[in-house]
Amino acid sequence: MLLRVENLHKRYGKEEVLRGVSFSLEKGETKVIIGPSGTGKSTLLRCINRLTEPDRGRVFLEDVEITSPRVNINKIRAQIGFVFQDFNLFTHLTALDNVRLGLIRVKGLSKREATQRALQELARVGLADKAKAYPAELSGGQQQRVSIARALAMDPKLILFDEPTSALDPELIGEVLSVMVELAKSGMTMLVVTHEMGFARSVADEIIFMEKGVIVEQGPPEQLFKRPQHPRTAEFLRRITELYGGEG
Amino acid sequence: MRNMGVAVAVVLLCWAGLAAEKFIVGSDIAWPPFEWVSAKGDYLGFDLDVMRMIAVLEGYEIEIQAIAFDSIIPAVIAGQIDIGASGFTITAERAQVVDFSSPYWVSDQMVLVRADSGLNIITALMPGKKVGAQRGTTGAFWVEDNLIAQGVAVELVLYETYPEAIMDLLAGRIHAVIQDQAPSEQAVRQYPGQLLIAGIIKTYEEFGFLVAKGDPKKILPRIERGMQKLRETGAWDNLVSAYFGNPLEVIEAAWEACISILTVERDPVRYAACLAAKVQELRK
Amino acid sequence: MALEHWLKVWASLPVLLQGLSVNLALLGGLLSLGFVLGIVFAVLEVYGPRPLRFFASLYSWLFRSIPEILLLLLVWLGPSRFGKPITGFTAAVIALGLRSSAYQAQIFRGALQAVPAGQMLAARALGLSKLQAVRHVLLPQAFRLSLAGWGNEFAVVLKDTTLAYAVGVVEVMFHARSLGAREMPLTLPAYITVALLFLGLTYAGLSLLGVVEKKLRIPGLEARR
Repeated sequence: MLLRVENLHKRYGKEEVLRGVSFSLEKGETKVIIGPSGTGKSTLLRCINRLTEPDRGRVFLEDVEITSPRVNINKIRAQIGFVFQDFNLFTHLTALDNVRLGLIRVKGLSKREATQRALQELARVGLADKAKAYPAELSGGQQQRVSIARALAMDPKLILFDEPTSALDPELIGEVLSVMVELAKSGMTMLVVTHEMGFARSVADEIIFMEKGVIVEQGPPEQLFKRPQHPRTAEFLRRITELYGGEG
Repeated sequence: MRNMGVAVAVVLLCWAGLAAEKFIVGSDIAWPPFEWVSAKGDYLGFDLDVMRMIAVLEGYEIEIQAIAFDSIIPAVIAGQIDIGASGFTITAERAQVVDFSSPYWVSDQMVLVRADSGLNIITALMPGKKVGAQRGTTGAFWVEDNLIAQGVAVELVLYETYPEAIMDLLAGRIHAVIQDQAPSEQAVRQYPGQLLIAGIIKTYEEFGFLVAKGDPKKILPRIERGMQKLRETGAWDNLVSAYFGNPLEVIEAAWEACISILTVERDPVRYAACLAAKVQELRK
Repeated sequence: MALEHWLKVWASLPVLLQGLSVNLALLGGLLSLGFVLGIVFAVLEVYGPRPLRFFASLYSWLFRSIPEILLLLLVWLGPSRFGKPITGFTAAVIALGLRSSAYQAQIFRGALQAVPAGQMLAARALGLSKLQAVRHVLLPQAFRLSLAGWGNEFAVVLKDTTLAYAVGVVEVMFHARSLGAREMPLTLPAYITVALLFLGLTYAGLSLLGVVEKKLRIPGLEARR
């Protein structure tokens, strides 16, 4: 088992955002988390690499407890890629330097090795020719692909995607999704929060439906989309189809 | 031989130790003829030469440091400098925080007006008149104590430096400037026909050199002894005749011609004689 | 202000320029000290643990509140009370440098806070430590954002260097005053000449900063100002 999440709780003031979430992820698996906005999906992702500290519960990466206070969290984070909704590319760095920064500063690669590695990853997301461009000179879709390359370059054990296409214009979503599909096919372990039901259906090994800080239902896409066990799941799927159009 | 060498070294060290006894003299070098910077950039003036001459007579070194007037007493108190020599009037207030030498100069205050103003010492200091003075000087205190505090409603305008007050007087922004005698005379000489001495106020202010309270480095006795020697040998009178009542260029030229007698030959008496004679010669 | 007076002041230009070089040395020293401390305190104030954050804002407040002249005298005279006298020049660099650091800290703090929070998150998510994130991601952006404010600070402290005469530093204003003290009609020409020198210096400094700003310009970064 690559990732194990046990009974995570997180509260912001009065509001309990996570109310005991548990699941696990095998190596090479892609799981997609769906659910209405404000149900704690993003918080869950951030609790996994402790960008947000959970109040209670434990997270294991392989056999290491990430949530242990003794763990060197920077070392752990270097093994977990994170792709943000609004990309968060480093504004003052070129695409190449965005990808290189972690390689040099965290992994301790030489500049030459890092450059080589970074160019490979940029090529993998189809942006080798944009290495010298600054984020502001790239489209949203290109920026998100650079940010995926930045995560990939670190050679992570798993990548967390936090609504990677939500900030994109519709015509730019496709290029990002196709990169993600390729990734999943290549055997990368991925945990994806998204509203892209088409992607969820075709790529996910399992889908997790979350609402109000708990997992309501999880299972293979076929089961969840065709025979949801829970009325809340059915209701959500009906509304999301209305909103985003018919899928598959 | 070797022992001899050691002995010489020890003697040299002791001598160096003695020679290294050095006092720092603080002065606001912008108040001729007591202290000013010559056209060549040298620090000269009556106060500074007295300090230099006494140092030679009493066998110590001095370093003259230019410091803003207001900072000198705090610096002496803190021990940053050893002697204040900047035309300080001896006052009870100052004497509470520093120790003064015996008086070396007596000055009165002078009131200057514009030559075309038609003002005299009475009309220049009437209520409603604007009187300029340098901040922190006895002239300014005199106006506060003897006019304003007595109900004579003149308006006192304070300046960081004396020349700035004179500028404003010439520009017509104030009616009169009050300042010590010697610098006032200097100003009149530099603006011939434009400034007038409206009158002298007999304040009988005594100037003194000052050191830290309690004189921890025992400097005052040496200054007193030095001044006495200067007076006995006539050097003092020569210095006074050279520095007061003469154009600054003349004093500067004479100083340059004679100063090596003091600094190289270390003969204060002959230096003062040279200075006085040279000034006389140049004025002709 | 007759021509002869101007000519005399211009004849003394070498002396004034020599004095100005002292002001420039002071400026270099105090800006460097202020820069280093300013960054440290800005980072502490934005990212430090709570007690340090409090200390940093206290520091900023303190050194912005004390009148400059008083600070100069305190730094100059304080050590000699304990038998460790320092020169007026050192005192001026320290006093004016500390003061400038308080202002520079505010400039950098504002710039750091103007960098979107996502930048820090992304850096931490990569595995960079907080310090690394500040050093490699936040500060490079903040510097560019703070150049305008920093230029302002440069122009202010350049003029502040003339205060150093209070602690016995023989700088350009001392020489200008000396000219006027020796020959009063030179007072205004000397002051005007010094003013022109400072105008020139400020202009040169700000132009240089402009060049630096252009050199460092990055698309998308200046737009947020």
